[in-house]
Amino acid sequence: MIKEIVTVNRQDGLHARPAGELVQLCKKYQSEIKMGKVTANISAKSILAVMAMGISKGEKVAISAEGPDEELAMDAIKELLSKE
Amino acid sequence: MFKLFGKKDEELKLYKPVVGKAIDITQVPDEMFSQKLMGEGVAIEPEEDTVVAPCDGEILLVAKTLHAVALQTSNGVEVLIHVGLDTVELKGQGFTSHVNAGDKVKKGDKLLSFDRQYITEQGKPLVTPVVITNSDEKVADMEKIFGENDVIMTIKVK
Repeated sequence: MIKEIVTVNRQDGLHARPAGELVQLCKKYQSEIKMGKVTANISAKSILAVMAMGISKGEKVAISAEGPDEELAMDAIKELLSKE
Repeated sequence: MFKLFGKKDEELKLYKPVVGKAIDITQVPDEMFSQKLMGEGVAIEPEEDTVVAPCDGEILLVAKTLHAVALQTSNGVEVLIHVGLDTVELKGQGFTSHVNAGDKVKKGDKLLSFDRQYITEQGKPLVTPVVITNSDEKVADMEKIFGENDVIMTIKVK
């Protein structure tokens, strides 16, 4: 399992559109991917769970990925969350 | 728990959360919705200013910017109602929430109010997607009903 802390740089935070993009991305990977404000304990493959965290631009989020493609998944997630 | 009518699949009916004409989600001028990236569903062209619960359930989230609300039914189906497009940019202006996450609601309970005139003046389309965000996991079959009908979706739950 790999874990990282990533700063969300998306305008308006993780609302519907970026949450949808994130979930679509995560579903491409076999790995189990979780995230959260303090510990990564919420499935990053659920749109509403991601939206419900209410993450604003500039906030840090903990991410974990576990599985055969965990490094690829983590790189892609970091790229998505850090772009504006 | 006994099952009503001995049916294997449970049926869920969703009613219009806002008065207006129902169209297919594929008609919404925003790829995130029209390509069903947020889930299967329909959209309403609002003719009134109040969003009500489309079915019984528990509120899962109210967006900080009050333009979206989601609930979960007792059989685990998640319904997201997103008032207008790009309305996150209004930062809550023009919206009032009547519920909080965790509230139990009944079909027809008031969830949000919004100011159609203000939203339109800000250049945001009012079209309001109503989507099942976990349709892959929870929906075995769905019938969508467009137009003036009160029921907008009949769902066979997995």
